[in-house]
Amino acid sequence: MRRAVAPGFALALPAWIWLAAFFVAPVGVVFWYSFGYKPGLFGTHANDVLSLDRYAEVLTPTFFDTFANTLWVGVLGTALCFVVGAPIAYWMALKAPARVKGLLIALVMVPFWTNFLVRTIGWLILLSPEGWLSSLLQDLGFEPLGVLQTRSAVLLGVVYNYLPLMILPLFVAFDRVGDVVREASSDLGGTPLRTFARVTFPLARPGIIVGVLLVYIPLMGDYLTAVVLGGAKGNMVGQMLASQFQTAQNWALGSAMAIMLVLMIVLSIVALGALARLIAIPVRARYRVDLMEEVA
Amino acid sequence: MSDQQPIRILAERSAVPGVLRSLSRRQLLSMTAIAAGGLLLAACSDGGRPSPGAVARPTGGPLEDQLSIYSWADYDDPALLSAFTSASGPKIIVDSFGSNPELVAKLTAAKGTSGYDVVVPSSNYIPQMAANGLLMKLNKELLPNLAHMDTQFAVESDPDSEYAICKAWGTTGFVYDTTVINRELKTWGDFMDAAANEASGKTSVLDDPGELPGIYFWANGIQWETNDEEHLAAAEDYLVNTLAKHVSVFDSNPANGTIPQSTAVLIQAWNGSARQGIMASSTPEKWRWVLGAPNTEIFMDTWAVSATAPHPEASHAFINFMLKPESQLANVAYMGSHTGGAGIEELARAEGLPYLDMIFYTPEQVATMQPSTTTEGIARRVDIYNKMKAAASA
Amino acid sequence: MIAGFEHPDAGDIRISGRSVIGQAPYRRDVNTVFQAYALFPHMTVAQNVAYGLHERRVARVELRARVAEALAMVQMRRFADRKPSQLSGGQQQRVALARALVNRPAVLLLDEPLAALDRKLREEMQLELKLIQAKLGLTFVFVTHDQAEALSMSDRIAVMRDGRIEQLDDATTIYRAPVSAYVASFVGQQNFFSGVVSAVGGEVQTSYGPISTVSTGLSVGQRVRAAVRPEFVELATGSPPGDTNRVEGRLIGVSHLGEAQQYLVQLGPELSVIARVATPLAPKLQIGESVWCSWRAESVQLFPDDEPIATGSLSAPTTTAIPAQ
Repeated sequence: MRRAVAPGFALALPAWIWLAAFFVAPVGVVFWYSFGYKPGLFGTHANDVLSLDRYAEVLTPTFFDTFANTLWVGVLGTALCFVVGAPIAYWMALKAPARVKGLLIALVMVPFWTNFLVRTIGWLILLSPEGWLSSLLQDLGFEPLGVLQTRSAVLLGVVYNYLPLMILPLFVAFDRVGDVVREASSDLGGTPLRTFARVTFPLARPGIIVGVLLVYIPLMGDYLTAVVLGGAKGNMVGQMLASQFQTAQNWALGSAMAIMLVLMIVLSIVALGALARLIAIPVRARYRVDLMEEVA
Repeated sequence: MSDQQPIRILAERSAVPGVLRSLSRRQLLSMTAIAAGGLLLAACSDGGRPSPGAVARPTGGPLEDQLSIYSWADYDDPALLSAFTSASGPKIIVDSFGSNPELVAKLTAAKGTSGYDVVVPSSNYIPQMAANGLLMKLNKELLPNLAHMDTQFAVESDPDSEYAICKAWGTTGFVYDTTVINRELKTWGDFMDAAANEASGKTSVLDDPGELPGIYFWANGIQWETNDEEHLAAAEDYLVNTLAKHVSVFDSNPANGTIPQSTAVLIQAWNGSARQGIMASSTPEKWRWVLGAPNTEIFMDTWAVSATAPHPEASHAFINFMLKPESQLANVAYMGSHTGGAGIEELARAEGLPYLDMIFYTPEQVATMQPSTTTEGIARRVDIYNKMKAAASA
Repeated sequence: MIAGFEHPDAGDIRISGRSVIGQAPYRRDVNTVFQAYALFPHMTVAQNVAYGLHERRVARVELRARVAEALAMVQMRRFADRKPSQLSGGQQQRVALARALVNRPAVLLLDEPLAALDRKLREEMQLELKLIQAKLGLTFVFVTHDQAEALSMSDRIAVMRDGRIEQLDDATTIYRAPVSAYVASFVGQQNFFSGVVSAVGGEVQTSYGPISTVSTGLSVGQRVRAAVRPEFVELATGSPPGDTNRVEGRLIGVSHLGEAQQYLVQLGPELSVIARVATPLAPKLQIGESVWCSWRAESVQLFPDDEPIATGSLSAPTTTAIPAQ
C-alpha cells in the first residue's frame, strides 16, 4: 500500500504546488493584510499593529447597499444564464446531430476570441438611442430605445458575457446523461417533460451546480461586466474593492473588504443551497419507496 | 473601476483604432496615480534606487541606432515616429502603460535595466520621480526646439525643464445635448441644475474619485484639492443625496459611446475625449462643449528621459524632433490635445483643424484651471465615490 | 422499433391487434430490458422498479406491494435500498428485469439482456427467465446473437436477415428443417458440399464423390449445396459397411466439448468435415490418421447454391420470439 500511495501523491504534487502558490498564498496574504492598517499617504499597508478595525470600517451601509445590488445582479444574472443556457446545452448535447457537436461547441467559444469590451461596444451601438434598432423602432412609431443604463441592460451584459461559462458545463453534464437512461425512462412511460425532471435533471445536477457556481462566483467579484451596458445601475462590490486597492491605495481596508466579500459569497451559496434542498424535500418524499412500511 | 477599465480598454486599442482613442488622457490626474506613485517611490527609495550616475550625460555625440519609448498607448502620430527614424536613423520601439504607478513600478522594479529611454509621466509625478533618481537631467543644449515651448505650460515644479517638458495638457468641462437642454449652460452650477432637471437620469459623470467632488468644489469656489472635512462633507452630501439619483453612468471616456450614441444628454468630460466624441457623432451640431467654470482643472503629461536610458543621445534628438512646431501640430491633429508649444494654436487654425476651441484656451481661461497635486484626501474621496456609486445604483 | 425508439421504413407493428406505428415509446404497452441495463444510477433499486408505476400514478400502497413482489420474483428484495452501483452485473440485470416486469406490459422486449454476463450466470438467468415467463404468461421478445440461447429459450424463433424474417418456427423445426442455407448455417454448425444434382431422387455429384439424399423437388443439373450436421457424421478407421454416404480424409484436429468430442477431418485442400460424437461413444483416433466419415441419406439437406450462407461470424442478428401460449 505504501508503494501505491507515494506515486499518487507525487502525481498530484504539481497541482498542490500550483494551488499553494497561486491560491493559498495570495489569499493568505490578503487575509494577513486585512488585520493591518494604512500607515500614511505613501504606504499601502502595515501589519505591526494588528486589529479588526478594518472589518469594522468595511461594515458600513455603503458596503451592504452595494453588496445588495451585487447580490441582485449575481443571483438574477446566474438564473438568467441558466434559463437561457440550459435549453441550448440540452439541445447541443442530446438533440443535435453528433457530427456538428464539435462545431457547436466552437461556436459557443467564439466570443472568447475577442475581448469582452470590444464585443460589448457592438451592443452599445445597437441599443443606443441613436442606433439603427432605435431608428427602426422610431420609424415604426415607437419611442426611442431606452434600454442602456437600466437594470435590464445590466442583465443583458451579464448574460452575454457569462453564457458560455454556463453552457459548457451543462453541455458536458447533459452529454454524460446520454440516451440510454432517457430511453429507459421513456420506455417505462415517462413523458419527455417527466423524463427531464426525474432522470435528465437529477443526473445532470453536478454539472448544473458547476455551471451555476462557475457563473455566480466570478460574477459576484466582477466589477466591469455589469457596468458596461448598465452604467450606474451596474455598481458592484468588486468596484469598491478595486477602488481601495488602486485609487485609495489602502490595501488593508481593501483586503478586509475582499475577505468579507468572500465570506458573503460563501454565505449566499450556502443559503441558496439550503433553499434548493428545502424545495427538494417534498419531491424526495413523493418518490421515496420504503418497502419496510409495507411490512409493518 | 477608476483605473481598471481604462487599462483594459487601452490593452485593446491596437485592435480598435480610432474607436477608443484618447482614453489614456485622463488617467493622469487621477489621484489614484498620485498616491500610488508616491508609495512606489517611497518603497524603492533605498535598495531599489537606480544610480543616476550610471549613464553618461549626452553630449551631442553620434546617435545610437535604437530608441525605446514607454508612453501612454496610441499617444503619438505613428507618421511622426517613422519620420524621425528616416531622418535620424534610430529605430523606435514603443511600449505602453496605463497608469503612472505602472510606469513608476516598471522603472523602479527594473533597477536600471528597464531599457526604456523616453518616458511620459504626468507632471505631478515629476518632483518625486526626480528626487528618487528615476529621471535623467536633460541636456538643454541638445534641445534647441525648447525655444518653441510656451513657458506658461512648463511643469510647475520644474519651471526650467531640468527633467521634463510638456508633451500634452488638458482640462475638464462638460458637453450637453442642445436638443434636450434648450438653455445655455455656462458653469458647474448650471451643470448641477441641468442634471437635476432636464438631464435627470441622462447624466454622465467622470469615473474618478477626484473629479466628482470637483464639480461641487469648482461650482462653489472651494479649492479643488481641499482636505477640509466640512467641505468634503458638503460635497458628499450633494453627490450622494442629490446628484447620484440623476446619474445614469460613470464614464471616463464618453468619446466611446456616451456622446456619439447619445446615451446621455449631459456629460462631464475631459476636453480631448469630449472633442473626439463630438467628432464621432452623426449630429455634432447638437452638442455644445462648456469649459468648467468658474474653476476647473489642468492636467499635463511630459517628455522625460529615464535615468538609466541606454540611448541618451537618441532620446534627446527624438524629444527635440517632437518639439518642432510641425511635429507638435501633427500630434495636436492626431490626439486633440494642446502640446504646450507657443504659436501652435495659430498653426492649427491655419491648418483648419476642427473644434479648436476645445483644445486651445485663453490665458484668462487657463488662469481658472487648478493643477492636481499630491493630496492626503484620497481615502476620503474614494469613500465618497463609493457612497455615490451605491446611491446611483439603488 | 417494437419499443418505439426507431421507426420502420415499411410494414406495420401490431400489439394485441392494434398498430403502434407513430406511437411514442412512453405510450406503448411495451417495456424493455436493455442490453446495458440502463438502470437509473441516482435512484435506489426500489425506486428504479417503482419508476414505471410512479409514471402511471399507481397509488402508494399498491405501488409498494407490486415493487416488493417484482423484487421478490427476481430475488432482489433485500437489495431494495441499494444504489445500482453497489450491485453486481447479474444483480443489476435482475433489477432491470423487475423494473420492466412490474408494469405488466403486453410485450416485454429483452434486448440481448444476458450478453454482458458470464456463461454460468447467463445460463442461470436463462432458466429463471423461462420460469418467470411461464409464470406470468407475458409475451417476451428476446433478441440475441447467441444461437444456443435462442434455441434453449424460445417457443418460436424468428431468424432475421437484413431486416426480414427468414424463418419463423419453433426451435425444433428451425434446427431440423431450415428453409434456407442461411438459416441452416446460422443455427448450429453445418458441413456444406457444393455439387450438381445428378439423379432424380436426390443424388448429388460433388468433387468428393456422389452424395445420396432423400430430397425431392430439385431438377437434374441444378447446382446445390448439400448440408450435413456434424452430429450426424460417423467416424471409422475403415470403410463403413452399407450404402451410406462416405468420404475418406485425414484427421487434423480433435477438441473436447465436454459432453461431446469434435473432430476435424480434411478431405481436400479446400474442404474439411466436422464430426461430433457423444463422448462415451467417441472413437480413439490419432491426429494424422486416415479416417472415413459417413452419414445417412436422410441426414442430408439440399439448398439451391445461389443462396448465401451465414459466415462463422455472428454478424447477422437472430431474433427469437416466445409468444405466450
